[in-house]
Amino acid sequence: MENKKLLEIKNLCKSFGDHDVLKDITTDIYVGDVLCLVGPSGGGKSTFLRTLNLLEEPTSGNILFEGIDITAKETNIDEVRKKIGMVFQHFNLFPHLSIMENMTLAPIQVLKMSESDAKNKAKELLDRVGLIDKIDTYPSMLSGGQKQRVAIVRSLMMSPDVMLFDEPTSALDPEMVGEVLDVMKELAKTKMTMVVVTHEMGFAKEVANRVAFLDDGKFAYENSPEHFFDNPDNERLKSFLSKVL
Amino acid sequence: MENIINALKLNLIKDNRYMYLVDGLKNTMIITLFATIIGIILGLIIALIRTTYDNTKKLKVLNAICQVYITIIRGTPVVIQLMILFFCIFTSRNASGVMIAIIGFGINSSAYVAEIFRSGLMSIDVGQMEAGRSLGLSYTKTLRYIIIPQAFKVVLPALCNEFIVLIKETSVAGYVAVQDLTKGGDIIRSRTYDAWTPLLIVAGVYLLLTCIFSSFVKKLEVSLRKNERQG
Repeated sequence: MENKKLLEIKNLCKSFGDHDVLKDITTDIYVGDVLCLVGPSGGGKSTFLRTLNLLEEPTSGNILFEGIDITAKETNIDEVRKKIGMVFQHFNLFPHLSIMENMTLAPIQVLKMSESDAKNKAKELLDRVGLIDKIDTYPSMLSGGQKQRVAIVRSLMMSPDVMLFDEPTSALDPEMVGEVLDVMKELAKTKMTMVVVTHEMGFAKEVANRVAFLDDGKFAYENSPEHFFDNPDNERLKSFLSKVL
Repeated sequence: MENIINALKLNLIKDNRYMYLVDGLKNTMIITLFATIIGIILGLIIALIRTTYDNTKKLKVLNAICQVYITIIRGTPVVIQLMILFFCIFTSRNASGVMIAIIGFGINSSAYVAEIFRSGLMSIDVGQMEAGRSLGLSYTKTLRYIIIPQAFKVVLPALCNEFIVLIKETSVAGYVAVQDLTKGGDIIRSRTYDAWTPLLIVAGVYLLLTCIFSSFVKKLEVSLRKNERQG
């Protein structure tokens, strides 16, 4: 594993009103990391993930992405977000645009890619996830699993340095979970840095190099998947794992 | 039967009286068309200011101005607004009634259109904005390429309704010396002392206008929806 820091999270706190969701989180994410975040709902997993590209503004603390403090006022967050892909639980494809347009909109508008380059790249990526035949259809005609695969490659169109996944399989019918996880596994093989909020323990075990247990707004426990799942020395994690495994 | 033909001859053919209606219809359409354009543009701007404030708490002052504007425009009769424009503000002789009617109805309609657009913008799932922003699109570009096109589809029926109302509302333009369709009918009646015929004709023309407009919008709705279902 390379040792270059991609994201440095320092003393991150986030509260909604007087409810503290994230309590003083400090951690680093390295290039090539596949970090899976698990934990009970309300533990702060999604909020943590969403602060990484500032969809949630931290209440205090700093987040450095490639050395740039993205929480600083003078940072242009759009510049940073170009390099941070995000996949949502509910896909959030643009229903009024075709699959092709969904994929090419941001590269053309943000990266100033030419239309033909963008289209070629879209075709290549769609081909990789087996959806090239859907290129001219609209999101409403796809199954959940297909939508999520499109959402993943839509983010990849921007050639991001890191991909954030916010429970990417939670809204899917069980038989479609596999196809999405397969795409994510392929992605991990390309050494993409990934931060994944998930309930798929099998995926975490197989693909992650780090697994963190977010409970009560803190990284309550973190370890490599072998140690994390087999003999964690954290009581809350043990009880959590006994419920989900 | 003969009575009807005679009435039509008297009210329309004699002295080319139908020209009052033709000229009036022309003015009604011109006023509606341009007021609609003003209403949509102003309304969209106001709606965007208000939604941006609701979402991000930015543009506080502009938002407050917009709220006052909407309250005043929606809270007072359009005829009074027109007369204020005509008798108080644009008092110079070369300001034409049609121009004032366009401005007046445009402003009036913008307040309603703003709230229609705002409801549409609010109805779009916040995930759409998040997806756009997370791809690096700016707030403005996300609005333009992702939110507004979807919101437009949502509000189309309500917008259509607003413009049917507007077409009919222009019938009070006579108050500011505009010879619109209604006024045209009025003039004919004052010449022929026949109330029934010109009023029924005028009513029929309004009905025809709104029907044509409705069917046009229905077609537009279908073609927009087709986009989503079949590709």
